[in-house]
Amino acid sequence: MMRWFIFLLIGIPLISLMFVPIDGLFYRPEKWPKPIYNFRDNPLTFEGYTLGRTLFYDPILSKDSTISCSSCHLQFTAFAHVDHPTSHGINSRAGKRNAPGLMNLAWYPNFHWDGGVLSLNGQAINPLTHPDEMGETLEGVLVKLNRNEAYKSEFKKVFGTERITTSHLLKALAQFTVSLVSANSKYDSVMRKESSFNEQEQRGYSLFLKHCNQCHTAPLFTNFEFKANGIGPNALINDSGRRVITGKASDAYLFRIPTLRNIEYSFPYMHDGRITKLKDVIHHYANSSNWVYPISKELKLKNNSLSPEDQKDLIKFLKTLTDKEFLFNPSFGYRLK
Amino acid sequence: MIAKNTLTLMSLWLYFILFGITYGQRNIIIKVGSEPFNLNSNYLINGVDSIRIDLFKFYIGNQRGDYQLVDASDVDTYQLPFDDKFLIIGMDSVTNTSGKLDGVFDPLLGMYWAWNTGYIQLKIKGNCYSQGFNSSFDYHIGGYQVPYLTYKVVKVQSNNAPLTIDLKHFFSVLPIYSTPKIMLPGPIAQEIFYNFTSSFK
Ligand code: HEC
Ligand code: HEC
Repeated sequence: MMRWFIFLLIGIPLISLMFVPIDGLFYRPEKWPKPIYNFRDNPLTFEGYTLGRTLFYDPILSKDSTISCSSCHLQFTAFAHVDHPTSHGINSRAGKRNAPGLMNLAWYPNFHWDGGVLSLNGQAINPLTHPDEMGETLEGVLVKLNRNEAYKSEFKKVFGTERITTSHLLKALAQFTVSLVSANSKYDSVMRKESSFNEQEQRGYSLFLKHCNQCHTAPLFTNFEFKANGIGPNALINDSGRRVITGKASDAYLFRIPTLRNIEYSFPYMHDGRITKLKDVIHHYANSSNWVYPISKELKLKNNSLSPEDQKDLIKFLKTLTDKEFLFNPSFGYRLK
Repeated sequence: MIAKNTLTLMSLWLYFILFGITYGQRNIIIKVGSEPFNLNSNYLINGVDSIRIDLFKFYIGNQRGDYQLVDASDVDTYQLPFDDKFLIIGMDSVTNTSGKLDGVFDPLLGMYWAWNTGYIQLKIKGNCYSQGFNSSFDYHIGGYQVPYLTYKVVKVQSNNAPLTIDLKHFFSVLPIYSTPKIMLPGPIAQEIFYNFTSSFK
C-alpha cells in the first residue's frame, strides 16, 4: 500500500514530465508524423543541446574566427539569412544559395535545396569546410576545440571522453538544430481549436488549400519533393538544383519545396533569394503568363485566377504561420558563457 | 548470490573467448600481376604504358557492419580486424547514412562527400606514362543511390588464406584518357568500381 503511494507520488509527476517539452528541447507536436531524425543514435540531453547552442553562436568554428552558424542563420528570421540574397561567408565570398530557415529539421528526409545531404549530423560539415562559408577544415576546428578547456569539459560532460572528435562536434550541433521546433503559430492554435481565423485569413486558408497545399503540405508546409515553381533558372548563378545530385536531365532546375512556416520573416525568398517581398512571391504565382520553364504540373493556377483581393487574403493566411514564441524563444538565442 | 555472480563472470569470460575467435583477422596482399603493389612505383600495363599511383584507399567491410579503411600509405591497415568469408566492398545506404562519423567513418579521413552525402568507397590518384606523355588521373569512386550503386559482396577463397587483390587488369581498364577525373557517383564511377571488385581473388 505504502509502496504504491510512493510510486504514484513520484511516478506520475515524473511520467507526465516526460511529455512536457523541456524549455528549448525537442518535442513532437500533437498529430504530427513521427520524426525521421535518429534520436537513438544521438540521445538528446539538456547538456548536449546547450553545448550545441553555444557552438552554433561561436565564430571559433570558422577559419578566421569571424563567422558563426548564426551569421547566416538568425533566430529572428527563423534562422534564415536576411541581408544578402545568397549567404555570405568568410572574406565576404558570396555563396551560391540562400540560407534556408532552420526549423522542424527532425522531420526532414534530406537537407539543402537540392536534397543532397542525407543526415542532419553530417550536414554541418558543409558550412564548416565550404570555402565560401566558414572555410575551416575539420582538423582545424577540432584542434581549436581540443585546446579550449571550457569546451573540453563541456564535451566531456556530454560524451564522456577527453578528446573531442568529429562526431561529437556534429552531434552536439545537431542536438541544438534538431530542437528548433516551430509549431505554435496562430495556424497551429486554430488547428488545436484554441482560436479561430478571421474572415480574411479563412479565405486565404481556402485559397491556400486549393492552390498551394499540394506542394507546401501542412503541417510542415512542404512535402519535401523537388519541383519547379516557374521562377526559371538564374542566369547569373549556374545552379541546376536537384540535377547536381542525381545527374538526371529531368531533375534540372528542380529545388526542394521550402517550408512556409515563419515565411513572413524568412525573406529573401527562393533558392537564390531573388524575391524580397512576400507580396511579390504571391504576385509571381498569380501571373502564370510570366512563368518560366520548367513548371511542375502541381502548379495549376491560371492567369488572373488570384484576384488582388485573393492575393491579400493569401498573405494574411501566410502570416498566421508566424510563430512568435519560436522567433523570440530565449533558449534558442545566444548563450552567455 | 555469489554463485550467480561467478556464473555471470564466467559467461562473460566465455563470451570474450568466443568473441576473440569469431572476430579474427585476415591479411590483405595487394599485387600488380606478379609484383607486390607499392605507392610511387611504376608498373607496366598493356605492355607499353606505365602507371604510378600516389594515393590508394578503399573501404572493405563485413555483413555485420564492421569496416576497415585500407590505405596503401599505411600497411597496418592491410590487416583486417575480421575474417569473414563474405566481405563487402562499398557500403549499403544504411551504413552510408547511419551518421556514425567516427573511427573509420570519420569524415576527417577524406572519404566523405558532405554535399552529396555518402562515403567515397575508393580513392585512386596517379599518373600514366605513354609514349613520352604523362597523364594524371584522380578518381573518387562511390555512390549508393539507384542506379549507380557501388556495393559488392565478395567471397574469400579459403578460410585462413589472406585476401589477395591483383590490380593488373584494373589498371589496364582505367579510362585515364577519356575520363581522367571523377568526383561524383555515376555510370563511369560504377564501372570503375566493378572493375576494382573483380581484382579480389
Ligand atoms: C555563410 C553562410 C552560412 C553559414 C556560416 C552556415 N550556413 Fe547553414 N546554410 C547556408 C546555406 C546557403 C544553406 C543552403 C545550402 C544549400 O542548399 O546548398 C544552409 C543550409 C543549412 C541547413 C539545412 C537546412 C535545410 O533546409 O535543408 C542546416 C541544418 C544548416 N545550414 C545548419 C548550419 C550550421 C549548424 C552551421 C554552423 C556550423 C551553419 N549552417 C553555418 C548558409 C550558411
Ligand atoms: C509545384 C509545387 C508548388 C506549388 C503548387 C506552390 N509552390 Fe511555392 N514553392 C515551390 C518551390 C519548388 C519553391 C522554391 C523555388 C525555388 O527556390 O526555386 C517555392 C517557393 C515558395 C515560397 C518562397 C519560400 C522560401 O522560403 O524561399 C513561397 C512564399 C511560396 N512558394 C508560396 C506559395 C504559395 C502561396 C503557393 C500557392 C499560391 C505556392 N507556393 C504554390 C513549389 C510550389
